[in-house]
Order: sequence, then C-alpha cells, then structure tokens
Amino acid sequence: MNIIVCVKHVPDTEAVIKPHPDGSGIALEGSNYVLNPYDEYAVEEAIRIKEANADATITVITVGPDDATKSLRTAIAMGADDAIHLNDPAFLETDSQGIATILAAAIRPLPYDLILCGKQAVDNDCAQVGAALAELLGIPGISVITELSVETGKATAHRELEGATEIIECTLPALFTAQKGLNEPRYPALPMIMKAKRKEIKTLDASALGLSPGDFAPRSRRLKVSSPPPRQAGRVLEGKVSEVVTEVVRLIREEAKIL
Amino acid sequence: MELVKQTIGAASTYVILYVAFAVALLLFIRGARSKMSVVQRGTPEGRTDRVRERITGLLRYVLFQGRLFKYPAAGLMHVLIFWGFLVFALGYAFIIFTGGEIQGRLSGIGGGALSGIYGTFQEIFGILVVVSVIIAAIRRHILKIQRLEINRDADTTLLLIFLIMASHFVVQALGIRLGEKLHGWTPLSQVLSGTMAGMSPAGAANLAVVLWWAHMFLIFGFLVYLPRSKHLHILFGPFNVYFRSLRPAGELPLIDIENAESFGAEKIEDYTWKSLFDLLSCAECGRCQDHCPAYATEKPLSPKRLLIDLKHELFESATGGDREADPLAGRTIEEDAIWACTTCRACQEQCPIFIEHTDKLMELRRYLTLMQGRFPSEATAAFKSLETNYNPWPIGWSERAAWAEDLDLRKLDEGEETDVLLWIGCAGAFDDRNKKVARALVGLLRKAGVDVAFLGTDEKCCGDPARRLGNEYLYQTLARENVETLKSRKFRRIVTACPHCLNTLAAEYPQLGGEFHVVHAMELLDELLRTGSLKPAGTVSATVSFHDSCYLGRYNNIYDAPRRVLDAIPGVTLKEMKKNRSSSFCCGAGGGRMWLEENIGTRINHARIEQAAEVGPDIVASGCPYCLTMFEDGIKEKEMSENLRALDVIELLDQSVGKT
Ligand code: SF4
Ligand code: SF4
Repeated sequence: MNIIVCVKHVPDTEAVIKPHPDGSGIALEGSNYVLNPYDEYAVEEAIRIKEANADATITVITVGPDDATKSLRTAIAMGADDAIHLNDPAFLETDSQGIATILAAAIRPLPYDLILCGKQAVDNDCAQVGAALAELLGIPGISVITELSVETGKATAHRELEGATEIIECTLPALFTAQKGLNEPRYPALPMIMKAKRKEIKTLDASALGLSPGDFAPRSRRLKVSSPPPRQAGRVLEGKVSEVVTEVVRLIREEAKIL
Repeated sequence: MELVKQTIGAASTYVILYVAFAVALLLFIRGARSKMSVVQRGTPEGRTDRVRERITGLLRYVLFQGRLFKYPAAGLMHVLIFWGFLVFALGYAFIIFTGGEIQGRLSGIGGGALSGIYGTFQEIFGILVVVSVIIAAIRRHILKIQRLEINRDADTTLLLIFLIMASHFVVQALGIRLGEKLHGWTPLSQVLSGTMAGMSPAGAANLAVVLWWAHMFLIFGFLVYLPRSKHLHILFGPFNVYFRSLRPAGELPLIDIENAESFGAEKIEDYTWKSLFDLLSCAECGRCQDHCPAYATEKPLSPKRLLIDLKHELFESATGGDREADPLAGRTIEEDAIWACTTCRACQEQCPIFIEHTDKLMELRRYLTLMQGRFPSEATAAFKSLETNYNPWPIGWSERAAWAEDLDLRKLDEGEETDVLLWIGCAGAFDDRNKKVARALVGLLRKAGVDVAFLGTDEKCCGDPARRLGNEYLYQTLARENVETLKSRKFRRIVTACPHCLNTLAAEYPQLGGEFHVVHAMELLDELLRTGSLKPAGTVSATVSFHDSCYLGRYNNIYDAPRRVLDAIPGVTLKEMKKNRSSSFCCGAGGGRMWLEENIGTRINHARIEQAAEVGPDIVASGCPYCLTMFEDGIKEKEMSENLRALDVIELLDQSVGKT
C-alpha cells in the first residue's frame, strides 16, 4: 500500500502574531516553524496503518521554502519512509488552489492508495488544499475525520459532526483530512531523529513538475490583515444576588446582544 | 588454643587449622569471584581516580560509619557490631598468621599492658555485639520496623554472629574454670565461669576443645557463607564506599549522542559495573525508602525495592533463558515507578554506603524517552514547547523578556560585559508568580549597587526538565546553545534564583565545555548583607519555616546562606520543620515532575505543607520557583491560605529592605 501525506511547515502556534502596520501581511520574525499540528495527526495515522500493513510505504510531500525540510524530517523521524520537497520561489506566491495544483502535479505520477492531509494549516486556516487536491485528482475526499480503518480497496472513516458522528465508506484511492482526536501523535525516538537527519530528500521545482507559472497562479488575493479588537477586561459584578442577576441579564441583552 | 594443642598435639592442630582455613579461603574466593563476574557484565566506568579522597571516605564512612548515625540507635548498634567484628578479626588474623592467640603474642610487649587492653576490648565488644545482635533480632522480628523486611540471609548472618560470640565466651569461661589467667578485664567470662564450678576439669577441658574448634569452624563457615549469601553488604559495602561517585551530585552522565547506538538502560548489562556493584552492596536497610517522598505518598516506587528488583534481575538474567526480549522498564521496574521519582536525592543522601539510585532511574527514563518515545503524555507538550519556544510552558519564546519590560534591565549582547549576569530561568520569565520574585531580586541587586544585566530573549531553558525526563537529546540541544551564548558574553559570575538552573549551569554545563562561575541568589544576597551593601531595616514580623529545596541543599550544599538571609531580617523568627537540611522532604516538582500529573497516591506537596503546618509558621519560605509553585498550590488545595503563605526568601528580604 502506498500512502502519501501532505504536510505544511507553519509558524508555531505559540508564536506572537502581529500584522504588519500596513496590513499587507503578518510579521513572523519572532516565530519558529514546525510541522503543522493537524498534519501530525495525518502522519501518525499513516504510520499506524503502516504498522498494521508490513508492505506499506509512506511518502510525505510539502510545498514550501528551503527550511520546510525541517518538517519533512520531523515526519521521517516519526516513521515516514520518503520525502519530497516541492520548492520553487514561484510557489510561495500562490493560494490554496495553487498549492493543490502543485501537489496534484507531484502526486499524479506516483502510485498511491491513500492520501492523508491535516484538515487545515494553523497559519492561514483556509482548510482548502485537501478538498481541492481530491477534486484535482478525481478521487473521493473525506474531510475532518476522527477515525479511519483501511481494508483492501476501501476505507471507512468517522467524521465528528455537531452532536453526531457520521460514518463514511469509500473506495480507494481516496483522500482524508485529519481532525484532532484521530490519534495521539508519537514523539520520535532518538535513533529515528538521527536517521532522519541523514535522509536524502528529493526536491522538485516547477519545471521538474512540468508546471508553468500560469498553472498555479493565485486566483484570490489578500487585501488586508488586521488584529482583532483587543479583548476588554472582565467585569466583576457585586451586590445582592437578585441585583447581580438582573444586571447580568441586562448586559447580555443590551451589550452582548445575545438574547 | 594452648589447651587444644595439648590435647591433640600441636602438629595436628596446625594441620587441621590451616587445611580448614585454606579450604574456606578458596571457597570464599570462588564465591566472591562468581559475584564479581556478574558485576563485570556492566559497562565500563572510571572509579579509581582521586585515591586520597576515596581512602578518606573509607575511614569516615566505613571505619567511623559516618552516615549510619543519621539513625542514632540503629547506627550505634551497627557500629558496635562492626567494631566488634574488627577487634575479633584482628584476633583471628593473629591465629592464622602467627599460629598463636593474640593475647599470648602481645603479652611480651609493654609488660602485658597491650594484651590486657586487647583482652578488655575483646570482652567489651563481644558483649556489645551479643547485645546488639539480640536487639537487631528483636527489631526485625518483634518490633517489625517497617523499613526492614524479613530476610532469611540477614537472619542467618545474625545467628552466625551470635553463635560465634556465644562459643567465644563459653571457651573463655571454661579457660577460667581450668585455671587459665585471662588478659584484661573480662567480666562476662568471669560470671559465666562461675556457673561452671560444678564441672569436672576433664569435662571442662574436653568441652573447651570441642567449642574452640566449633568456634573456628563457625568463623570459616562465615567466610564461606559471606559471598554466597544475598546479604553481601559486609563484603561489598566498604568497596562500594571506596568506589563512590565523586562527581558533582547533580551531574548526570553525558551521552555521546552522535556515536552511541542505543541510549539508556534497556537491559541490565546496559548499566555500568559500578551500578551493578551497588545492587550487590545494598544492605536492604530501607533508609532510602524511609526518606523517599514518592514512597511516602503511595507511589509505586521504593528506592530499596528498585535495588532489590534489579539485583534479582541481575542474577536471573545471568542464568540465561529467553528473557532478553523484554526491556527492564515496564517488566522489572514498573513504568509508573520510573516516572514517580522527583530526583530529590533523599535516598542517596541517606544511604550509608553511597548507593546511587537516581542514575539507575534516569537510565531507565532515557531508555523510555530516547529509544521508545514513551513517557507520560503530559511531557509531550513540555518537550515540544522546549523545542520550539525554549521553555516548558507553552508560551512563545519572544515573550521571555516581557516580565522586565518596564524595569529597564540591561540586556547583555554579544561581546558586552557585566559584573553579575542574572540568569532568570523559565519560571522567573514566564510564570506570573515567579516573575514577582525575579523583579524583587532585580530591585535588591540594584539597591545594593550591583552591576547587573540579563540575556533577555537570548536565554533559553537550561535544559533541566528535558534532561531529568530522560530527553538527553533535547537537553544537549538547549544546553549547547546556552553555552555558546554565555561564552560570547563577559561577566564575573552568573546569579540565578532557580536551584535547577544553578545545578545545570554549575554542575552540568562543564560537560559541554561551559565552565562558568555560578552562584544562587541566596549566596549573593548573603554576601551583600555581610558586606553591608544591603540593609534590611524594616521589620517583617513573621514566623518562618525555611524549606530546603533538593537542588539547593542536597545537590549544591547551600543550607546556611538562606538561613542567614532570613536571620538578617528584623522580626523574622525561624522555625525549622522536622525534616530539614539534608533530610528535607521534596516539594514534588523536581526531576521534571513539575510537568507531569501526579495522579497516584496522595500529593507530595500536600504532605510537605502538612509537615510545615505542624510547626505552625506564618510563612513557608523557599529559594526555588518550583517549590514556591508547589506550596502555593498545596496551600490553596488544602484550604490553609488563612494561616500559611508561601514566599521566596528573596521576597521576604525585599519587604524588609524596601521598607527603609
Ligand atoms: S540502598 Fe542504601 S539505604 Fe537503601 S536499603 Fe540499600 S543500603 Fe539501605
Ligand atoms: S530521588 Fe527521591 S523520589 Fe527518587 S527514589 Fe530517591 S528518594 Fe525517592
């Protein structure tokens, strides 16, 4: 079985996020980059499937700048077999649709039964690449899964919905995007980390993929990024219980406008 | 012995004696060698340096039994049995090497004074040994002291010693009965001989001869038995003291990550020979267990059991079988036990023969973490945060200097110079409660006119949490970066309020080429008070109990400085807890436990808070951010906030100095 996991190198979630004053983007100088947490679930799931199927191989793929290899190595240290780095300065200017196009171009020539992605990247939170990629490859795409079982030729996945669980069966090959709860990603063992450090990573640029800039040109454009309004300090209401309750109800009605 | 020679002839006496001795010696050597071969399965480790220090240790801790007196009654008993053993051993050495009894050999010297002294010593120690052996038996079997377990080998040893002594006294008494003049003061032998008045001289002589042989054969038997018993401490204990660790207390062995193929202890042979030697030397006295905070709060860890279980594994694995498949961790030693240790070092501080428990547990953690990636799940968050944000809290690294934003504290950049470099530590930088301590410290140093700067966001976690949770790789990554940073700055000394940082920087960074002069804030404040740079004028009326943090006290021997600082504050009355100084009881946060849940048994911090409450202070003061956090939580959870507060000594001093 051939499993492909698509991952992204993203700023660490604890990084302090500040938009550029001109609203053109986000200043990320102070942040370290890590393997996208949702992609970690995807990698972990792939490894678990591999542990149950001796003949399975796992290939991780990313589109990203030079240092994105760090996240590929994290995935290898966890247990992935091979890694492909799609790296071209031109790739950095595109949008989700463009990324999916680039990934599709890389994946098409490869044998695959299963493609796993994180449900979204924690930086831009677009949650589009997985779905778009399934569409481009013409295979079933099941998003936001919390459980997955794979048999020959088919797979069953659980999706956590508001107050319900949806169980979906589909034929393989298929693409799934991982939600938190799918598994508990492992912490890589040191011998694996050392091995991953030395692992050769295949790098492909646009021309190697047979893509011209027009193929992955962004079709959407970011206009402005700004901070949310600062949160107001909490208020403590004091006094008799009945008064406090009346006041709370008033505040909910008039200020929060929830009721 | 003269009587024996008269009865069966001198020649046959010597033949029997020396043949029996030779056989016993041979069997002894064989036994000891087979035990040694088991120890040799361990990995190499150098323990033969600093010979003078090692010999001094032998005198202090073996001859004078230095550590045994931490338990006065048991210590006295042990010392008497041990010295009695030495006195008697000297006598036997004379018989073997000179062919005659010691008193006879010595009687020519000093007009018989020497033999008289020996005779008196022998008698007194003989009596004391008998009494001690009886008390020991009572403690084991009637009082059933909890730290001692019933152990057949211990009983056999006691019985043998008793029989040896009994036969000795009866032979002495029979000698008197037969008109022999004993050397020195021999009250018990005299009294005993009085009971034999009715015995015929011939009968007495025969009995004396038989018992003399019995006595000698018991001695030889003891020699043969020793290396075969599981109670080997008599034999190995002194060597264990000799080969004790002389490394800094807080320095874990460094792993050569690039070249090692496996990490930590998977199998028993992965331990060093000295670690295995420890297993054979343990006397199973239970002192370590008695002081273990994990054991005291119903965790599945006892340092004594750890030793015993590993010893069994050592012997069982030596007999082969298909045991190799499973690692020690999880099979021989429960994983929960491995993670329960706070590395408080109370066990090692107590052990009379310097057994090293914590390293054994650390090697198991290293195996689990580095080889298996298996550890309590809470540690994952701490590890990941350490990797990306260089602190175990999940807070972005760029926030590290935020606590000092309004303090105008100088950031020491590459190439710059300061007198004191303040090492804040993650707690001081990221934990709201401990930020206050850090700010108070800065205030005090400024008032004292100290030239002080800090590294701002260039400081990273010292690595202690990672190292103590078995993650040597992560530790070395952080530590090497810090060493680089520190080397690129100029300063006279580093000061930190965190004993864990202190220990790592002072005791562990030298392994990575970082030799810095590091002191704890308590030491610097103590110095500033002594020189008059700080004047605590304001009164702080409070009864204060000082809690000795493990990494401040047991690890780095700083016991007096914080007490002197407290003493200098007008109005403060110091009230010691029962467990103080080197017997202090851990707060529960060391060894990376700060980052793990404590969901087995009762909580260690609650136990310590209760111990503090026993002596009724208003404030429990400490010199460690972890302790402060644990106590604050403990006081809240036990709903004791009305009567008890937790403060850092720095804060108390700041209150006093600030009032001027
Ligand atoms: S390790 Fe030391 S303190 Fe613990 S039981 Fe053995 S000899 Fe006693
Ligand atoms: S270091 Fe402390 S917690 Fe660990 S075994 Fe020893 S006494 Fe127990």
